[in-house]
Amino acid sequence: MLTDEQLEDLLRFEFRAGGEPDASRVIDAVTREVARDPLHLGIRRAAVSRDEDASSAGSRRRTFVHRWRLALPAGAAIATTSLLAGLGVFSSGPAALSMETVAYRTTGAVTTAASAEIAYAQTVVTNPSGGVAGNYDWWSEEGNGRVEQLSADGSPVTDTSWYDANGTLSGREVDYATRTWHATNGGASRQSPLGDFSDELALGEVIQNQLSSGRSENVQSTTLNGEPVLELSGTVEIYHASATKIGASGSTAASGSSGTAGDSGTGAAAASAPSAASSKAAAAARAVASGATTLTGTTTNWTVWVDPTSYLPVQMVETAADGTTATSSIEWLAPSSTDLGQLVAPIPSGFAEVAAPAGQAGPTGNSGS
Amino acid sequence: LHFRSGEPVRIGRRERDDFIRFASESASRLLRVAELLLRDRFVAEDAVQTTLLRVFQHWDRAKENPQAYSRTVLLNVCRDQWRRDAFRPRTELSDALEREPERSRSLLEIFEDRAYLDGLLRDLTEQQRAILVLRFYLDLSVAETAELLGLPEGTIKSYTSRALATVRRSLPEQRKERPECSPTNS
Repeated sequence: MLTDEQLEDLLRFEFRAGGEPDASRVIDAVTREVARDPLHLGIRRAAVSRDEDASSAGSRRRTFVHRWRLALPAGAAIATTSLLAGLGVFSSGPAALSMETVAYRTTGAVTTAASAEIAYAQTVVTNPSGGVAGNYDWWSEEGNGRVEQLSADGSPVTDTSWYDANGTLSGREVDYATRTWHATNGGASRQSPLGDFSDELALGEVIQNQLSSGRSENVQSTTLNGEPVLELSGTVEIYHASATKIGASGSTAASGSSGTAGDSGTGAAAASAPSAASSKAAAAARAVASGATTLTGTTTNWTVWVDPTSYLPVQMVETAADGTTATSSIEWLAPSSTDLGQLVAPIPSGFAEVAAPAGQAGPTGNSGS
Repeated sequence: LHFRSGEPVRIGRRERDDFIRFASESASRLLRVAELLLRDRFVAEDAVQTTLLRVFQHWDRAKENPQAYSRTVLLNVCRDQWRRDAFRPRTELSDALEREPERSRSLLEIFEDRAYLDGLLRDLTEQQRAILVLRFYLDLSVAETAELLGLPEGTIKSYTSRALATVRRSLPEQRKERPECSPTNS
């Protein structure tokens, strides 16, 4: 009969039989997750001074400011292409660059910056008659984002922020009209300012979709607000999984409301959600899933101006067939404490917490103020 | 973490590198523990991935003693899995083979190992199984095991004794009298 000691040794032997298992798949998955989610939950959400924020929000400066901040990884990406240029793969001067080269470099710069910096855009949507239909400030960094809708005078109307915690979206929504806010836990509603143009919330993905799936047709050196830039332009097909065309739904964007793009929580919304060409299959799948039988594409013209040094986009204009236009001024912010704090919608003092709408259940008693 | 007060803090590149290094060095051992506790390679991989990401989320605390922290998290993840398993049928080997036919060879090897170990451990409670794995795979002391499981040391000792008795009963007849199978005596 085995003694206890012998039995323990037997277990030690059997537990180790075959050596340690190959964990490369786990390591790869974890490394990938960590790399693509730089904020993750390591970020402690900012507690912005409510009074200060409430007073400053109403008078937010809306002038276009150039701020070139290149992250080191972005620099490395550019260095690679510069090296290729040095080897004669590319010509050296911007004027000699092909559309494909600029698109390639821009895609690379955006890919790198998207995980290292905060994309900040000020988007103005105008209706076909030229009237301003909506003003938005939006910030995005992988899995985290915020969209603030502003009135024509720059005062906030709604402010929504969210963060991705292990695949679950949580956040808060602030309504300035009713002076209320509610937390969302697992049901944050995200609405792209680009409405009919794109349901993407990460600016980097919008641009990458345009460059990778749209038809790039022209590139030229020019100036924007006195600064030298490279101008890329082309077209992209926006697909709708129903018969609704942008001309018909453009009124949605023109009304300044959130549009149909971001709300994928219902079958009806999913059925009418637009999608860029690269997501054609996904759109078709949504159409089939929702019972829709028509997949309609409409052509959108786009122009992106990029910094000739960093290749990061600084402005983007999209124009639908009906004349609805979205103009976005873009900054790439270094992830300082101040800029990270911009990813969280502040709650002005005096705003009351209300229950989250159905489907956005949030924790109660979390005043955040 | 929900809108916690304070300045936002970004995990620095060095800390991220430290975490990746820790994850790379620890994943195999954690995976083996998870396999032994959960008896399913795929579920175990998911559990270890979940564990490591949770460790990363709390790296500011975990970095003091990442080995101990990850063990605690893994045990919690396994407990969650046990609770879920109570309501779900176990994944059969045939399902696993169908999912990843290219890995069928290694899966069969895993299955052979698992079948024998399962035979030894089949009558243990999950608590007893965890104690044996912690004591005799991770070589934790009684005190460390007690702290990790939140049980008194006396309980760990008595559970260990009962678990060993159960294992002894499960041993194939030919091995009950063959102490030379033990590596320390070979």
